[in-house]
Amino acid sequence: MMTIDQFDIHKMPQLEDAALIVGWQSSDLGGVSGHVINTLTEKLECEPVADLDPLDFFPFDGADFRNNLVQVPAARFWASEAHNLLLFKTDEPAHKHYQFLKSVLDFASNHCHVGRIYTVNGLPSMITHTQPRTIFTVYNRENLREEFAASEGIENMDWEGPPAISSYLLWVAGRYHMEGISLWPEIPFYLSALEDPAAIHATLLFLNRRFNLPIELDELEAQEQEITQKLTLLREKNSEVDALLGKIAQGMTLNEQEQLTLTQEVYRFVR
Amino acid sequence: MGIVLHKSLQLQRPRLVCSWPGIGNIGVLAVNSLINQVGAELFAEIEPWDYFEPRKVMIRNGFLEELLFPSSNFYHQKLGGEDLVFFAGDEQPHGDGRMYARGEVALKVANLVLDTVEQYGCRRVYTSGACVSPVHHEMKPRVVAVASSASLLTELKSVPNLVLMSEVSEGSGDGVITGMNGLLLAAAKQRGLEAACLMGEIPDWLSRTPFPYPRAASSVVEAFAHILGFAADYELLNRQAEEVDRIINGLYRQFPPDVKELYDQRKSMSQPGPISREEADWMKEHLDDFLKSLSEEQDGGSDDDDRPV
Repeated sequence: MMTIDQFDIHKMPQLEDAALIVGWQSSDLGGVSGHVINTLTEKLECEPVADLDPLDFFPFDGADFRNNLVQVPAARFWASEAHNLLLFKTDEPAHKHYQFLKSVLDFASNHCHVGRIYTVNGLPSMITHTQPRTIFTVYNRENLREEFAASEGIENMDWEGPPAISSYLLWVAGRYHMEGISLWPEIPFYLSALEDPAAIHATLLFLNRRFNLPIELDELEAQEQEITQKLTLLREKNSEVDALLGKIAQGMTLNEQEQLTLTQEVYRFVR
Repeated sequence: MGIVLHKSLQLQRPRLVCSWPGIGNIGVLAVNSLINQVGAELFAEIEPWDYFEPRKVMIRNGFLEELLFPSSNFYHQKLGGEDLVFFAGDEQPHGDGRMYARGEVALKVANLVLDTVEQYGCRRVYTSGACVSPVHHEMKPRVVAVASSASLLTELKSVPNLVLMSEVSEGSGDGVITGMNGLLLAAAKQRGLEAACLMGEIPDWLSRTPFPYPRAASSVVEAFAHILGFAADYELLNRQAEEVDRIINGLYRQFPPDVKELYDQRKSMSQPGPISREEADWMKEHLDDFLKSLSEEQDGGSDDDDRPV
């Protein structure tokens, strides 16, 4: 059972029938989840609301580091009262997943008056970086499918297999009678380990429209162009990469070795 | 949080037979066979989310239809006027990503199982699993028992093809039953319930392979049929055993000659006893190398394309 003691509360926001947007910092393919949440917290001048005590959910058996920087598990809520939004930026818990998700939803629902949740995730796909990024969607209520049917650039997901933490969250939300939508923007698989500004752009554009947000996307457009230029240069220099990208553009599927080669070459060049 | 009762039952001091997956899936195969053979009916289950992670999600046309967890089900049947409860777990509860349950989560599940049957006055608990032994795969697997009391051990000795752990282990019946099939025994004994574990023998080298071992499950079913007093049918388990035997014999034919020679000596032992440490180490080392070389041959590459959604 959740108690408020699990949270270190900084400031309780004044929200009403708000939306919660959840972004996962770990296993963040294409950097979509982290970048979207970071952009929202920064550009909407969100204020920190509360930290969920990580002790029960993360291993604390050493220190992770990314880009030479030591990371500590974090699970923080932010709020924008002006836009009636609650944001949650978190690492995926290592254990007690159900308790973790339940605590997040209890806090959002009972203390921040959230009525609907959105999750943001990256979906690796056999597309090229020059193709548009479709956002695949998952809903925990059938009526939501109708509501979003007219939205631009989205498609309904079909999947049967291991569940991601976002799907688990949607399922738990359903048990609590909360509506939930997962957004899965496509990422060219060879950009999964890098940032994919086009997928981030597509997601922020969707959120801008959905919540009437004022997020400027010029910077992301510039980053998209930069990636495209770099990859054009790589294609000129590396005939194998050129051929592999050509195959994808023609709708052909690459085998495992080809996928690995392309991913490694792109990673080395772009990074 | 806890137990979902599908059916309200009036039971009189039932015996409980249960199993979770383990080596060769012997216990689970045996208990599922018993459930099917006696026509036991589902009456309760453990709510999974506090103890298990979901295995599968089904999303159709954007709608999240279902999230599937491992099941932990209770079944009931009356046999010869006696109430029997069976419990079958799809997976060992593991809070920390291990194959075998341990710690707080495991103990909670063990107590949930016992709480459920104790309300009906359960008098005895059986679990079932595998006993890794220095036997040959062509020999009929025996059933090895440990129990919570000397009197129960005496009673079990009358079961055909059943031996006590002291007759197969190196010492005098010392050892560990890892995971839920062992933990439940301890939890039952702590409550003052009689408890025993019946383990089907599996050749030591097969315990390190991923396939099930229905031959041993068949022996366990035979033991339970004697204990519970019904005539068991072995057709399905035998069919499964024939399929697995084909794989085992294929591996056996590829054994290095010196390993095969030593291994075949086991066939001449009518009642295999404790294995010497030297022999066990030699076999393990050579067979581990052999199995490793086979798995390297078969692993063409990574098949990790099931990214979760």
